[in-house]
Amino acid sequence: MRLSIIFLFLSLSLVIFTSLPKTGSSQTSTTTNAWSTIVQAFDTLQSADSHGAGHESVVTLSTQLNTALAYYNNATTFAAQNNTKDADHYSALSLNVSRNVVFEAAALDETALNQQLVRQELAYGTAFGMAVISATLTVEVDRFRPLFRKRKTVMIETRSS
Amino acid sequence: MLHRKAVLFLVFLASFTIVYSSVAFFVLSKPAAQAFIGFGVFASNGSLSNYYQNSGAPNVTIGQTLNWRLQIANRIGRIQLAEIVVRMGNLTTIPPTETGPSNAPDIDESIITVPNAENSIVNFDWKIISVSHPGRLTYLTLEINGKRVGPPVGAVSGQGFRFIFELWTLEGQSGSFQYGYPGDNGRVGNWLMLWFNSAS
Repeated sequence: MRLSIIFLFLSLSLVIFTSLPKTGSSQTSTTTNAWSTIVQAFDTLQSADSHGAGHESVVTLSTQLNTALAYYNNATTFAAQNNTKDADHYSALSLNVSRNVVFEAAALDETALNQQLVRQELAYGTAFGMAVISATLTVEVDRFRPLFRKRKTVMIETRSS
Repeated sequence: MLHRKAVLFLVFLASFTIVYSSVAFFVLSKPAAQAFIGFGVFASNGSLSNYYQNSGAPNVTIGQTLNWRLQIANRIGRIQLAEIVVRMGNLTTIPPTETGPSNAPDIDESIITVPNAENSIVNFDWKIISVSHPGRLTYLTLEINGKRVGPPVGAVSGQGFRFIFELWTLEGQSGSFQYGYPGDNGRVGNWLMLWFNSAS
């Protein structure tokens, strides 16, 4: 008996809760969405910066991200004033700019990562190549000695004549 | 003889590889530098003095607009997303420390990206709109960057108010703003404080 009353109470609560008007929920979700995209854009840009992306490109995207932040700031101000229409408008503007930053920063990050890999391959490849040459020269130094001796004698001969 | 040469070659190859790889690593590495973020507040004339546009006490009258500039200089080595948290305190407020923020109420926040080796500026334009004396203490209504705020902080005879500016930065792992900035040995607290009196 008690269980059925509890079940009935829970069911009624669920029905009432789901039928409540959704005042303000859309503006909250849009501003939240705008903020999470800004954070995603920043993370991607920071990753590109850490991988050695060009300073000018990072500064340009940073300026764009500041624009997205300004729109987001307006959106939260309007949301606090319960002005859903303007809050949604500025959230959409912020989303638009920060999505563009995500896209461009991801491309920049990929390029920077590839360039970093190429630089590393080149540097360590050269290091290994030089190690092979150095090791060969050291081990085969006996083969080159006669060459040096010949040159020396030639030089001494030319000087004495 | 050939076997001995091969062993010698391998030993030399390993040795030279270590030496040249170390050189390559050194060339590829970023030069060592202390990571820090500089944080400053400038008066409207761009100086680090005369914040209240008078030579005497830091008295601010109702309606007197002060245009301050908060500057963040990023020398961390990578772009940062910084938040400036503005708090208002009085004589009894516990100030921020190297490790933790102040307990004063938060009255304004600004978020800005600061690329590495660059300075970003956040405007802080403010004025006192009105003063109230509901009891023994004086309370202020302010306008900060066009927004009206009424901090729940009072001061006896309007003396000894202070603005506390705290620097917070977004931490990648938690995805939230954390007090201070990521230094070489953990997070470093960074804050500024300016006192003023309500001269009404």
